[in-house]
Amino acid sequence: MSGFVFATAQYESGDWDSAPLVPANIIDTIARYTQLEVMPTGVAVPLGSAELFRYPFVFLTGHLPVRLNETERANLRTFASRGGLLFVDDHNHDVDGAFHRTCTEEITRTVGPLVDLPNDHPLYSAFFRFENGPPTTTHELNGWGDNLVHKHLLAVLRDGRISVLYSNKDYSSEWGYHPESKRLYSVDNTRFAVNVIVYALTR
Amino acid sequence: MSEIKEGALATARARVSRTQVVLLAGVVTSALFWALAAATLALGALVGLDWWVGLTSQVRVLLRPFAAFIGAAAAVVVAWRGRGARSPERVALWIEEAAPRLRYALVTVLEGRFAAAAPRLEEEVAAVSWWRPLVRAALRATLVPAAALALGVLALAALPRGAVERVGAPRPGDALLRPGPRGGPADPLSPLVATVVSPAYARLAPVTLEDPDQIAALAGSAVRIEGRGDARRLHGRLGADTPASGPGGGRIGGDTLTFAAGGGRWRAGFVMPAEPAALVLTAEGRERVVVLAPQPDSVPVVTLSAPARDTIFRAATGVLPLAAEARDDIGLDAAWFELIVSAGEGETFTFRTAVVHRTAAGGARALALRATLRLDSLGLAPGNIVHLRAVAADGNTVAGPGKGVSETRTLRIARVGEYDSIALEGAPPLFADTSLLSQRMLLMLAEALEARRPRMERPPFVDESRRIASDQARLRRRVGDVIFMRLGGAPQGEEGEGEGERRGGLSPEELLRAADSVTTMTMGEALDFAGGESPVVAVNRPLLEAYNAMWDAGRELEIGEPGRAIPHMRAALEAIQRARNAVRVYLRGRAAPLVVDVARVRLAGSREGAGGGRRAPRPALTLARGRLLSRFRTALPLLAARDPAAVDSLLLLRVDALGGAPAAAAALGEAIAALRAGRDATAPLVRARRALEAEPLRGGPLAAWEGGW
Repeated sequence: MSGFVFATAQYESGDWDSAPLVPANIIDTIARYTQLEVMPTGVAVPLGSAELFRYPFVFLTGHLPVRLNETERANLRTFASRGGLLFVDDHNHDVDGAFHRTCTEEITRTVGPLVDLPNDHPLYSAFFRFENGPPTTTHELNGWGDNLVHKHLLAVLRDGRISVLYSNKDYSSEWGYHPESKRLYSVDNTRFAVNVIVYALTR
Repeated sequence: MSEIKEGALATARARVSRTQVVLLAGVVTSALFWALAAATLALGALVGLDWWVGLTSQVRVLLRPFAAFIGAAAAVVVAWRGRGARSPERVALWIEEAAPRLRYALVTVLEGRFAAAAPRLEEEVAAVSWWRPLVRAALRATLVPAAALALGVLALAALPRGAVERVGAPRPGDALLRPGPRGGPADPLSPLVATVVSPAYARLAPVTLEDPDQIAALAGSAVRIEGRGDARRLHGRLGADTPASGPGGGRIGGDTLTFAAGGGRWRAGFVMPAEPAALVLTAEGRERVVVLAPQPDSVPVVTLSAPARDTIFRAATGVLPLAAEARDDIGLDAAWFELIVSAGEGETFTFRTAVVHRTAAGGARALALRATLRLDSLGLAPGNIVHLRAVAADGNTVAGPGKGVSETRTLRIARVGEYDSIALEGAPPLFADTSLLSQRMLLMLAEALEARRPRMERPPFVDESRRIASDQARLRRRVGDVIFMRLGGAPQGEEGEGEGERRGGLSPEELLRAADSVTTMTMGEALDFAGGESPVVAVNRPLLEAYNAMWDAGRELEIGEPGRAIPHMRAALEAIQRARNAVRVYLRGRAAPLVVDVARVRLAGSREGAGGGRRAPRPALTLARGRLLSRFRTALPLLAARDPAAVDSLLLLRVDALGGAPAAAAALGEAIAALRAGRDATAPLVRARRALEAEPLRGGPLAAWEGGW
């Protein structure tokens, strides 16, 4: 293996593959803005597999309740202890929904407590500068679902470094389009993904 | 004669019996006094020994029974020595010895073998009194041990009351009762007694520790420490680097540690913190470090035994047995089954949650949950999913209840028709479908043109016919594309390529020949690849027939003969209709992966040279352990120099190791205990060093990342 590979976590419960266009879109973004060596396609990596440890950055999303089995928990715990970064995004538009409750519970149980990530955290200046913290998504602004703008992301910190980054902002929907459609946006809404991945690979 | 003899004998025997009673009483009294005296003296000696060397509570518990044993042994010895008092003959001999004037008259009378001399002997015995030596003997047997007893009692009375209490009624925490050195103020740092009262939910008895190096207790336990001396000379703080706040006070985890004084002792209380810490007490430039090691309250362990696996139900009816077991290290508060019912699909989901069979455990360490779930009571619809698990909570009121959960079982209600069909997805219409419409339209145009033929001039008639021929040719090329698509080739229009260019392995001429061969085949004839028929023909025979018919129709139209073209056009339409009626089944599957052309995105032309070079491996996440190792290496020279601060350094090191290096912390604890006891600590120190120097674990082949992990 060489270069960065966008890995999507595959877990036994739930719809882990609910955002099939996100990997290609983010790979396109990484290629567009950075000089990172990046593989042209993403991979799906089972959380219960040792393959997980080959990827320093893993993306996890879904709509349905997240219930990890013991193997998945043990692997995720090891993944975090070895310095990997798990980026979790709630693909729903609801408040305190089933994915949110179950996934945060699993993360807290497996890796550690989730805390509000300050909006001046180095994550927001790792590549692009986001003065106001995490960028909002259209689902937060257009009246869908919770009709709220989440002011913070959540994170599990280990020795000051983010082990698990958790988002309620539904980036899975925000970024779920064909990379060719990026030209239709006046401002590329996937730039925040560059910060997350650069942070994961360099901090 | 006989009466006299018997009377004389009775008198002598009666006097001996009375003497025997006195002697026996003397022996018993003497044994009793000697027992008490020996026990008292032994107790006094042991109290003195404890005062001098400071015996442990485990030894002191044995001292009182040991003193009683000494007393009992003394009584046995005395009773054994006075065993002769039980025999009248031995008593008579003792009397003979005490009163020599009897000249064995008493013994002879008691023997009874010289009956004739009995009266005279009786008279001789009656003439002698042994009362005085008997009283002397009795007094001697009683007064001497009584004096010894008095001496023992005086000795105990002279000893400090606390010293006697430590031996007389030993209990945990009575180290403070041991008198300190005379002639100076008591040391406030030693001895130290800690009393730990666990949180009420734990239902554990209070524990008292004497002179502890470490206080291990549940987080949130109330800890009370007590010592001797003046509290005003005492400072206290948490952690080695925290400055002392001032005399008589200190800081414990942000709370002020207040020292109270009274009765020559100081006392302080605090709550066991959640993280390991060091309690540092300072007095007159000396420090005492006590490790505070909070013991975690583990969350309950829950096992869901029924249902045993994920299930799909054909209908949402029936009763589902539920079974789970929960265990906890302290005590369970409650356990229950938890349900989440999810409905919907795609981007629209709704969820309901429910709790089933919540059971109070009342602090039990193990609990078996049994319940039943009526599926029809949940109002489930086809396609709904039930996520079921068991949950147990302990009674932790300090950090909040710890919740343990089981694996989750997923129960799904089958969708309507799920068992009667396979999942299909509609496919977009093929070119053949659109070709059908186009061919029908061309046929209608040709028929209309042919109908107008008698009313038209030849030249415009031919022009109109050629326009239809042009459309027929375009449609023919599209049908040709469909034929290549079916073989897996890309749909490419003939317009974009030269006529002579080969497409899909066939030139247009070869395609036409294939179409001709199809047309000449007998309908219904079996396809025979081995007989020379190519896959192109085998897969596309109806379309090839249409292709050939179109070709013929186009040729007729090109020369202005739509009437002759119409049969070919009808044949083409019929062939397309047959091709369209072919069954098309597309099995549902994953979308093809989207491959990003990285080089194109970067406007780089190729991937080579676009990368920014390999990045350096991430440094290993062992900095914390490295710092511990550095501190450990700093402490070792202090040990070699016999510096008392070395043990404190190891204690503080152990506090920090408790969190991240438990093996090293355990080894350091053993080393500290050995050093305090004056034993060789080499072995545990070596283990501690090895635990701190351990390499990070590797979890299998990691290719590009393994250098940094």
